[in-house]
Amino acid sequence: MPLFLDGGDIQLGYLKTLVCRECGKEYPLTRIHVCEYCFGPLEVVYNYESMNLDQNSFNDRPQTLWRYSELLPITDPSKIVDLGTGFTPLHKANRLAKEVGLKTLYLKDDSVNPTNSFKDRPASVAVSKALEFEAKAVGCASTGNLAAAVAAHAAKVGLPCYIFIPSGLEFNKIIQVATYGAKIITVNGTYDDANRLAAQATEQYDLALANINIRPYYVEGSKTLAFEVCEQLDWASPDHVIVPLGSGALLCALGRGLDEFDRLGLIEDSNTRITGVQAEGCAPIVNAFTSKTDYVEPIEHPDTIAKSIAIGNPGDGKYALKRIHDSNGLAQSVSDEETIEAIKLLARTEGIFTEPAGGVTIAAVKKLVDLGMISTDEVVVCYVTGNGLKTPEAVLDHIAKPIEIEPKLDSLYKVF
Amino acid sequence: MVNVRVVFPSIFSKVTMGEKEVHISALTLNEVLAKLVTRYGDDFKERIFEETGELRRLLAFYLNGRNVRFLDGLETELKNGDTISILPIASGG
Repeated sequence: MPLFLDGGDIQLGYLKTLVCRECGKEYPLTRIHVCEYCFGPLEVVYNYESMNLDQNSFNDRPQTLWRYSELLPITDPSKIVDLGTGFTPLHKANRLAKEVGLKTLYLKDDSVNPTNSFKDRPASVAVSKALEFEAKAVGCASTGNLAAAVAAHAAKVGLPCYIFIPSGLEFNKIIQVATYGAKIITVNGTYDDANRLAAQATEQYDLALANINIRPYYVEGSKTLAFEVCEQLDWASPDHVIVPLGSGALLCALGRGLDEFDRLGLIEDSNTRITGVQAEGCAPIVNAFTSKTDYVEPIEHPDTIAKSIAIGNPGDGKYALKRIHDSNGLAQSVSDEETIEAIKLLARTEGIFTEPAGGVTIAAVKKLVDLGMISTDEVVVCYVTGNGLKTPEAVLDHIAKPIEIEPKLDSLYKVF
Repeated sequence: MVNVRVVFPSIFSKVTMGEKEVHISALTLNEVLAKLVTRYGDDFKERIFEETGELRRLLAFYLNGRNVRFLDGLETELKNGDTISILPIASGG
C-alpha cells in the first residue's frame, strides 16, 4: 500500500504475526506483550519473502524513520504520527577519535530528534499503533526521555497521555513533558516501581502504554537506528557499535535491525560487534556479563547521574546479554566521574552536548580502547541517544564559570 | 496463619479461571503458592515455577510493591493484610 508522507512514498502491510521470543508460540497482532505460557516477550514477524527491497528502493523515501516502513509494524497509513523523527546525522568524529585512540569513529547523533532523544523513534511507532488499536489514551513508564517522546506524539493527535516517572528526575525533562500537556504521575520510588505501577494500571484502565502493553510494536522503532547507520555508511555495517544499556531494548533492537538488513540483502554479512554500557551505580547486565552468568540479577536501588538508564530490573536484560555474547561484543560499566568527563570531551571535540546516557558510551569507548578490548582500526559507531540540555544538573558543577566583567574596555583587556 | 491478598496479571486469567485476586491464609510466599497450586492445578504450577523449582525468572513477585528477590524469595514471611502481586518482567525501557 503506497503512501505519500512528507518527501516520498512508503510501503506498509508486511506484518504477519506476534511470536514469543522464548517458546516460539504465535499470537495474533493484538494489544498483548508477553506469552501467556512462559511470559517471554513477544516480537513481531514480517513477511520478509514478500518484500521487494534493494538499496535503490529508498531513494525517494521520506527523510524520517518511516522510510523503512516495510519493517515497521503499522498497517493503516492514516494512523502514522510523524513529527519528523529519524534520519539524524552520522558524524565522522575525527577529533574525538584521536582523543580515544581510534582511527575511525562515528557518532550517531539522535539528540536532534523532535523531543531530543532516540525515544522519538519507538514513540512514533507506539502512538501510531495505539491509534490503530483505537486506544482511548496512551502513556508509558519512563525515566524522562520516553515520557517527552510519547507526550509529544500524543499531543500531535490529541490523545490523553499518562506518564509514570520515578521521583528525582531532572527538572528539564519534567518541564518538557508537562508542557506537552501530559498527566505526570510521579511515583515515590525507583523507575522499576513506576514501571510496575504502570503495568498494573493497564490491568485496570484502557491505556495503551508504549513500553508495556504495546511493547512488541514500540521496540520496532528503535531498529531504525541500525538501518540508518548502515545506509549512511553506504550500505555497510560498522565493525562495532556502542550503545547505552538500560532495559536492553535498544541494544536488542539494533541487533534485530542489523539481522533484518542482512536477511534482505541490503548489507553484506553483518559481523558487527554490539557493546552495551551501563553506569557503575546501576549495572545489572554488565555484572552478569562479568560474572559469566546468564541470569541478570536485579538491583534494588540504582545510584547514578545517568538516570535515563537507571533501570534495576531490565526487561530485556537476558536478551541483551545474549546479543552481546553472540556478536562478540562487550559489556562495560563506567563511573559517574568518567561519564562527566566524557560528556565534556564529546562537547569540546565534536560540538555535541549529550546527556549522561550518551556520555557513558564515550567514556566506555575510551576505556575499552585503553584496555585493548577494541582494536584501534575497528570502525566504531557510538550512539548519542539524548541531548545535554535535558540534564544540565549533570555538568553544572564541573564546567568553567563564565568570566564576568564590567562594561568597560579595560575590563575586556584583562580577560585575554 | 495470616490472611494475604494475591493479585494476578490478566494474562493469568485462563489458569485462574478468571479470578483476578484471591485471599489466602499462609505464613510464607512458598505456602501461598502451594495453596494456589492446589486451587488451580498444574497449569498454574508450570507457569510460576522453573523446572528447578525456583520462581520463574520472567515473572516478578512483589510483596507490598517490593520484589521478593530483595527479601527472602520463597521463604519471605508474610503479615496480615499483605498484598502479593505477580507481573511479567518483560516491560519498560
